[in-house]
Amino acid sequence: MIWSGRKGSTALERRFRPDIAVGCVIVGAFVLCAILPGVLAPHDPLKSLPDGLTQAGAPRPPLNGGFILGTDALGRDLLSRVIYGARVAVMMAVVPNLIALSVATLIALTAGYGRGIVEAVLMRMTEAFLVLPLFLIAMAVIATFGSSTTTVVLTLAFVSWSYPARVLHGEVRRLSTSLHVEAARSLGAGAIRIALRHILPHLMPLLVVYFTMNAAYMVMLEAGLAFLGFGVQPPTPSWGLMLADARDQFFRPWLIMMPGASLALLCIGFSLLGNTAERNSPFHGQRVLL
Amino acid sequence: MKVSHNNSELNTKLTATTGASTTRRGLLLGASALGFFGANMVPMRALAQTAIDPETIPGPSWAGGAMGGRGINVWGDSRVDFDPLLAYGRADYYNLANFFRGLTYLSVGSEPQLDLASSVEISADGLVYTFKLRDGIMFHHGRQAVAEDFRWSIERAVSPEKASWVQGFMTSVVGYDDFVAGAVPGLAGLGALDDRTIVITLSKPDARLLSTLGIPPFYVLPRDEVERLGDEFLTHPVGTGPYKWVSYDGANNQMIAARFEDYIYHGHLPYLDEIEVRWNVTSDIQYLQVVRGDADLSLGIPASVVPDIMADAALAERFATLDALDVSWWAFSVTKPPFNDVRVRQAVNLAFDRSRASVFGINPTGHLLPPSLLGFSDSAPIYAHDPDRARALLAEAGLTDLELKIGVFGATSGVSVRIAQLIAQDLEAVGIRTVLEQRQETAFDIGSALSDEYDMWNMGWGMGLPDPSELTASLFGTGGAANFGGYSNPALDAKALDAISITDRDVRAVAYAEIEAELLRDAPFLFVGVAQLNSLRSARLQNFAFDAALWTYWDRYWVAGA
Repeated sequence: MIWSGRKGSTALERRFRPDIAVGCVIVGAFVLCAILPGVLAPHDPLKSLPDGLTQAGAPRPPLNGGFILGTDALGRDLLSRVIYGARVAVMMAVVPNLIALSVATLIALTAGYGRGIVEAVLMRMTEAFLVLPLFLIAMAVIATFGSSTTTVVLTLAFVSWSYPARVLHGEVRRLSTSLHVEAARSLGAGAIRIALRHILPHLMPLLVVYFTMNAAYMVMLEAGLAFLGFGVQPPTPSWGLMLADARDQFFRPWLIMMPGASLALLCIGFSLLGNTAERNSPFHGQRVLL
Repeated sequence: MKVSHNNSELNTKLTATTGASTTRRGLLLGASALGFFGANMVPMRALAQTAIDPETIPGPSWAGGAMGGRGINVWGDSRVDFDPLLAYGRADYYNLANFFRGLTYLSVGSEPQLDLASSVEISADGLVYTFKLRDGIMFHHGRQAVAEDFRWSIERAVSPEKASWVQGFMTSVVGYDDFVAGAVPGLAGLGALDDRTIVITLSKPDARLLSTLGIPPFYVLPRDEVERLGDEFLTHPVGTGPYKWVSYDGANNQMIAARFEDYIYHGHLPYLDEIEVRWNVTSDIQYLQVVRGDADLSLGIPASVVPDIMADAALAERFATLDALDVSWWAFSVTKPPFNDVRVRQAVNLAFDRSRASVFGINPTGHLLPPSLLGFSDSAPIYAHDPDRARALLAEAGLTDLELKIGVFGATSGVSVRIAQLIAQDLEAVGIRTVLEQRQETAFDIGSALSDEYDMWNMGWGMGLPDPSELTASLFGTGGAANFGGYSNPALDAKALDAISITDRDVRAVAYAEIEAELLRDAPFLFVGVAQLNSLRSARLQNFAFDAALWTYWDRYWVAGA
């Protein structure tokens, strides 16, 4: 939505919001790359091309030899790798994010509505998790269980459920004492029905805000892990891996700038959408009960 | 036969290995017959020396330099230790020769030459080496070095307390087994007859001995200073070398050493007043510092900037590269399918176009032995890139659907990751799928468990001793220190063991060539090649020479305008 304004705002307030437009365009473009890389990429991102290196064996700079963004140290087309890299980035923004928010929601509903010893155990566990150095935990988990894409996805989810769980728990507690829940309870609705039908729908705005804001975090986290060799494995095109590969190519800045700029752009895009979602949510300007 | 260019004793009388007087020619013939160090050895001298004859100074050419000035060497290591037994990094190990010296010295080509020893007599059976020391060898702290210092230093290097990586280089010395087992207090085969005479007695002929004595861990140390300084000796080296400790600044990663005025070759070497060693300097910054003239020498120039250097004539003139004694290969897990079938091992070797690795600072020789090493042969049956033959071998082995799990260890270096991807591309072209897994640790951290987890993985071995025996024992010998793939060939083990005792250099070279040829046919590895040592020097640094064993010769570099 590129026209903003909450319900009841005046026509004057319903003005064009360029930040939303920019966010949508950026994220939309990368999602398109992720869905249709084979159509958009000019070359196979895994193949070293016969003319991919200069005669001296160096990577080609942008616009040299017909390569728009140049080539990497193995003579692979950088544009194709950036496009295919979007697939990993978008997948990491979505899949572990959904898993983490699902886990967080489940814990928040169980603890917030169940109360008592269940709430105490779940919330102390969540709080304990919050103080852990999550990046290091992620590295340790991947080092232990291997660095397949599945492991990376599950690890990202594993290290990012705790903060939304804590916030959602506060909201569940608030909702569980609201009038519509009291009414449902009086009508004989069971705990599961109340949780799923009368509380969960009211968490959706908060979940949307968290999803968009967490997406940028997930992309950065995966890139950071890949940069250190703990993310998806080569030769899969990943922006973090591409940055790692450019570490000793200090004098070929395009090898750093292209994946770096893509990473920054996608995170900016998600952040813009996250801000919009937050601004348009019922919680805008409110302090969330922790 | 080559003759060292700085030898002045072409016509002097020499002490022959049989004890009789003979000419240099006679000695060389005798030496050749015994084969103890080939023809490049500086001739042994019978006459006691009261002043250094400049022609007897070992190492590459040095004459004609100008005294004075300072030279700056930059390295990438994060720390340095200057105790010869504990120096593992480049910045420390390859600077040891600036502070310490030993009985022999390794010149360009890693050939051993007499250094602090003025002569050596070798018994006819090749079991007793009698070294006579030069006169006037002084330690930096002002005491004269005597034979007992040499005996103690060599014994320290082998001692069970130190458990050094060089211990195994002295296995042929009488009493080695008892000494390293802690059963006896000293190494029986080492003795100091008087202040100037050291005797080393072997239990079997060992062609490596003179080379072994030429590597820094066997250089002479002053026992009194080592014991007085304790751990401080790591950062305060005291030896007999051309430069003397001035300051060590660990916080700023900088060490300064000054010309040692009582150096055995004083009046001739070293040329520089001071040398500065900087470490913890990343390779790209090393490159920039040398280009800007802020440093005089880097031996860590990244392969990625070599094309830029070669495109600039002024820089290209100051650039030099050599094949290091740093072997690179990919080990196969040969005790389980698919690599328990030699055809699959050969197919992978044929499928890989190793020439593509050359842009990453690797000389893709396809051999195990580095080109500068004894036994390297151009006629070795290395694997040319032949994907058709690779496919045929795979079909013959009945493998049509093969997936390999490849471990990439020490992945922070980048080079291994890139080569792994090249291998994956080439294997895919012959129908083999691959799964790469990067690991930050080295293969040595995992050890023999590698074989359970991966089908193949990258390995590297930086040689401490410029002798092929180090590779035969450690890399593919049954149960060898780096033989994690489980390869075992008892016949080859026996040949490798015999080769250590072959005293004729030419015969020994043939033996190692045959061992490598058999290994290539058996293909327990994907053979790649050796790492290249890329150096760049400043415009003012003169007389640069380097070598795969000792790398630098700072005692004979000089600076223009000093």
